[in-house]
Amino acid sequence: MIKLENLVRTFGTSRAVDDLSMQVLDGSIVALLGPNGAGKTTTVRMAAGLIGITQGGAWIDDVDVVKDPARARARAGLLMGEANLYDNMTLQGYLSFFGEAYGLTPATARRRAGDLAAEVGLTDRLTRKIESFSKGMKQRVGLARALVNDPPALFLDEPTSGLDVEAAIEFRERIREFRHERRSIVLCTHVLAEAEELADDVVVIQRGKIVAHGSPAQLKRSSQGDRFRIRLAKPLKKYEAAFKGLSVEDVRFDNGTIEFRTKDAAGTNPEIVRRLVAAGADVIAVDEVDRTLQEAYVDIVRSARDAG
Amino acid sequence: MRDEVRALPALTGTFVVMRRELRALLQDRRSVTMMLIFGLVLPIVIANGAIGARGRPDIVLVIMTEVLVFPYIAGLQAALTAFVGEREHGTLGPLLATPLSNVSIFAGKLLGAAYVPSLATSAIGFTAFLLFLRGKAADPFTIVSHGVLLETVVLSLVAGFAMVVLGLLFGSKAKSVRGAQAITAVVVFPVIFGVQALAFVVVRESAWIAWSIMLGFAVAIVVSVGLSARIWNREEALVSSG
Repeated sequence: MIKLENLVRTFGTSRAVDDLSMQVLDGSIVALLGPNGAGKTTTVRMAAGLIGITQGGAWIDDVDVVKDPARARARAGLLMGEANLYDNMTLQGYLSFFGEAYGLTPATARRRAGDLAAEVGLTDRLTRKIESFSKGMKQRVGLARALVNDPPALFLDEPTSGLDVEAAIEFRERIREFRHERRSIVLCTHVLAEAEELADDVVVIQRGKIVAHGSPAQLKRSSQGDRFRIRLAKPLKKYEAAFKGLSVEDVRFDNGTIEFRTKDAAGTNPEIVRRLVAAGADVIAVDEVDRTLQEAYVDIVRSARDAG
Repeated sequence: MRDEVRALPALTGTFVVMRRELRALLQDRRSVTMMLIFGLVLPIVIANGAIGARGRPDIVLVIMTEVLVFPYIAGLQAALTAFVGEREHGTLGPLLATPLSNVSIFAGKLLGAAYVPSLATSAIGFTAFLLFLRGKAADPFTIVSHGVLLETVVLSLVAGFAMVVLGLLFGSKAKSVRGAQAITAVVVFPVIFGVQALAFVVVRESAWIAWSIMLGFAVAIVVSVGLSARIWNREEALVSSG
């Protein structure tokens, strides 16, 4: 389990992370979302024991990151963006080196390197130099490196950036498997579809503060209300009258389709339908429009920005 | 597997990092070529030049300091690649994510990339230089006292060590290896000329001056190592790499 409690990190006078608390249970994935410079990477670096924590606390299982950062690093696996490998080393040499850096004996590290190469499907490349690998292969090596210490906590920062579609799908599949291995995973990504597909929980941060937290489904049902679509048999000229005085927002009309948002569907929608029918419209269907996480995220970030 | 993972003691960690740096160096053709040039070709060429300086022990010693100190220029380049280059290419990040201590990473890189290969190259070069001049009129063993010879060797080694760590300190703020190399020229040339000038002092048997200067170099090394270790710690390296 990863637990962050009231984390604060300052650089000079600016607060990069401001009173951030979250928890990642064993076998679950939490997506950490936010615009560039929101404090995601700083949060991950603090949580994994790479940089100091100005205030607050972080734990990986029972290890206190503040008190014993080296032990915390021993229990964390990191893949930050591109894999950034030593290209002139062989895969075997590279993974063995990192195994030894995590305290494994040379023999165990060598064995572990072989196991991990098999796990990421690169056994046939074990004795080849990394410089000859494709980008997708290099990213798999990065993942193998992150797993060399068999970490209970995994921090993946933009793990599929730059990968082609097929490689990204394979990579996501592997991340999903980690859930069954009871690892706690923090996933930082700008690919919202990836977060929606993988994450059990989503934390949106902006200017170092959490501005939204919940499951993807919860976040999609935003505080601004659910979105509905009414389909009419033919376009209606004066549709605005049907919405007058009701608690609806963002009404859009397009060639016989009306979309709007309301927080009170039960009270509002039947009245809208009644008014439309009274105005001579033939209502074919009323559907709830599924928002994507991306749409929800954009709303959340914009609202947080507007709120200052 | 999880139970076998642990934070290594500083010395063991240093050894793990140093071994990787040495392996990387030996796999790099450019570095091996540099070592061969500084360790074999240059000493012979320089020794050949020294034959003309028979009867001038000061000149022979000045030439000898070149053989001893020049390998550290290559060592400094390797150190810059190991530190600034790794930060530039982002390969430092994964290493900093391991439980290795700041000291292990810094010392391992400094020893593996710079000091051990430089010292080895310097020793090979010095041996080649002495063997080439053995029995000739410019043989350092016959034209200067063993004490002066030892003083010059120690002075050169200390100067070489100081050059690498001072260069690393000066180059630490550079964003790229090229930038760092340009900055370190400020250190390299004064150290080389300084050591050559000191060889004259040594041969005139002003031992106290030589040892004072050596002490100065030693202090510079200790201070620079301390400052460099502070600059090249986990936190600073990560924050400055973005």
